[in-house]
Amino acid sequence: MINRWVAVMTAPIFFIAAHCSILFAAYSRSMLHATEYGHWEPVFFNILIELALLLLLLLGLRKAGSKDYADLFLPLGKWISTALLVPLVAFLMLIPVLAIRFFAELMIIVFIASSPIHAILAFLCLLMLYGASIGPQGIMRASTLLTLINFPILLFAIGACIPNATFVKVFPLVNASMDFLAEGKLFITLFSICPFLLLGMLPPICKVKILPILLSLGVIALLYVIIVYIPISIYGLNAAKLMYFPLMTSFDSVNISWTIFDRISLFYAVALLAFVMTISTFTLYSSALMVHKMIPVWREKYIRYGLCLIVYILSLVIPSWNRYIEIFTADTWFRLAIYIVVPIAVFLRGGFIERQERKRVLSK
Amino acid sequence: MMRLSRTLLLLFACVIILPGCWNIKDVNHRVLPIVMGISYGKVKKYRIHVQIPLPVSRKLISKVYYREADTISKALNEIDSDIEAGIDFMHLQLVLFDRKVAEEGIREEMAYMIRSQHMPTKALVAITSEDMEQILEHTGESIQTDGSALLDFFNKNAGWSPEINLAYLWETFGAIHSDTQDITIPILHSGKTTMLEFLGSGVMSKERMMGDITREQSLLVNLFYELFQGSVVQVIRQASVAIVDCDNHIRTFWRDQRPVLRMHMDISLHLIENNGGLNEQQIEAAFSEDMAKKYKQLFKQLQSYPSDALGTGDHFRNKLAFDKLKLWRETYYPQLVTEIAVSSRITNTGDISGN
Repeated sequence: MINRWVAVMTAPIFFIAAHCSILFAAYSRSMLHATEYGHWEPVFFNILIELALLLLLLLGLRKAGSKDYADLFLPLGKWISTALLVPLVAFLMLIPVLAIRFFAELMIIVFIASSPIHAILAFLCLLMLYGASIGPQGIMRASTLLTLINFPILLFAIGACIPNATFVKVFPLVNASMDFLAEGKLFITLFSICPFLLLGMLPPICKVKILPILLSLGVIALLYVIIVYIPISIYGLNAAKLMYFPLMTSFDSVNISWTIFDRISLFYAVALLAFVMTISTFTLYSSALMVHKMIPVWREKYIRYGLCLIVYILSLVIPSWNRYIEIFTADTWFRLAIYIVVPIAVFLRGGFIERQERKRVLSK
Repeated sequence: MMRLSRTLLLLFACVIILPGCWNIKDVNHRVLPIVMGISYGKVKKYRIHVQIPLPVSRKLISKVYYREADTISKALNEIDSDIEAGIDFMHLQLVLFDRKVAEEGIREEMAYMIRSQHMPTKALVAITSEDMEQILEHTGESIQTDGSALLDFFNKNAGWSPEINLAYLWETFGAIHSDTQDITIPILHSGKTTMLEFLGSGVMSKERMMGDITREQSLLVNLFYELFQGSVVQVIRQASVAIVDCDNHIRTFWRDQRPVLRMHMDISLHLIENNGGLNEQQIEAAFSEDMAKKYKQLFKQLQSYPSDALGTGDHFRNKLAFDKLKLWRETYYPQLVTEIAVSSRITNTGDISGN
């Protein structure tokens, strides 16, 4: 019984963990800048877009059986598969670069102010490499366990903020101008939905059922809204917009005079580490797997080392925090193209494979 | 064997590149200031005081250092380089502003403290009109006997009383940038017999202090926010009653293009002393009337500054167009009509029914 439950819930729990790593990191700042006021509107659009793309992807995957991106696209021939897989791998590698760089910056602020960034990045990259070498089953088990431990910690941190929050500051709610649709501001915040792409690597590893994942999207949708409104209800809209790490600063305001709760932001940072490691480990593993399937001569282990080194170097060459934010904005169009092309391609391929399968059964 | 040597090599590499602590100063080489005083200097712009408790043979002694510089961080840096240990602001508890600084505006000072990442945003803010060195020396004496005296003064579970307005750094920063809310900052003075004396609160309008309100009025501010714990004794025509509970219901609306705030406050009282010969109903009525009058007066005073220290603008956030919120403090707030109703009930008269 419990085994079956774990088997079904592994994918949704991983989905939540992957979202947490992004929502609790750069998301709140980016969303605060997406519009003047009424932030739930762009959040709502985010969730709708994610829901649509997720359904397309999941339906495609279900038709295809237990196949991942590489298995789906490689039979399309060298050129088409390369055109689909190389940008996908590049995009997947961007996730750990940005996630790890963000976490390193957070660590410097929260606990180790004078440590050099290259050492922190090296530590995080080694951890990621170790995790990715364990293999998919291990990553999934770790993701389940770490989420069950750390998700309540993040919820506790959010709960501890609530005495400092003033509800009336969330007003005004309705923004009829929809200014976030202009200038593509909405699309910048869409990096938050990237974990749905990772689900395409899951079918060979664990069961991906549509209903549990949609239910977990409900939990995530709630988080989306809460995370944006926490800094607003604590600091007020104008002050929250000035901050680079609105969520961390909100957790810093918590005053519990019990020694171990002296700094809630420590709890937040430690819990976030688990989630950041979950998502970056899995992306490293899956991009190494895809590269290996494209070029079978290269050994997967060495591809992993190479990719990890690339992640380390790329995250190290981001010189300043402002540049980091620029990169977030600059890759918007690339990201959108991936979001649209990959689910559609999976859906079409899934339909094709299903039809072929049916023909094969009938001809027998 | 190969595997073992590889693991050892990796571990050794870790030791080299990741000792874990870079430029970390051990606790015995750090000093942890608990009060920082910001005032204007004689030669340069700022004079920054820090009060540092130092443990000396099972006792705490308190030292006060100061430097003058054109920015706060420069002054702190100079103090840091002149004393024999590193300064770590992790345990800063109180930031004292000189009254002149507060009157000219504390936007830059607050921005520095929030930006710096080294100061806890849950530290408290206070204003003093006394000489900074004097008040810090005075509180330092109390710290020698009780290390957490200062913290307890503001701690809700220790020495705080409901009259004292609390202004945290994060709260003050938010209020400075808010269009619809201001904050009151407690004004402190070194006490004659006690460590500190609470004189009243400074009323801020955005980043500038516009005036002050008395102790009694700052109780009204806390009651308005329902920030209330314990009890506080009020005297009404020779009878004294203790406020034990307070519920504040606020409704806001527009009438004839003027904002209206309707406030209904329910106060529970305990009768403590009854010397005037009034009966309970009379005391209740007199108390309610008295409170309503005081609130009227408080609103009038705040509106003249104009400072929205009671956060009434927040209640209009959903009743005003977003781009008009910026105009709230100057345009709409002075026109605010207040309808104040206070109802009080004596819930307990103690062990006897009459004198």
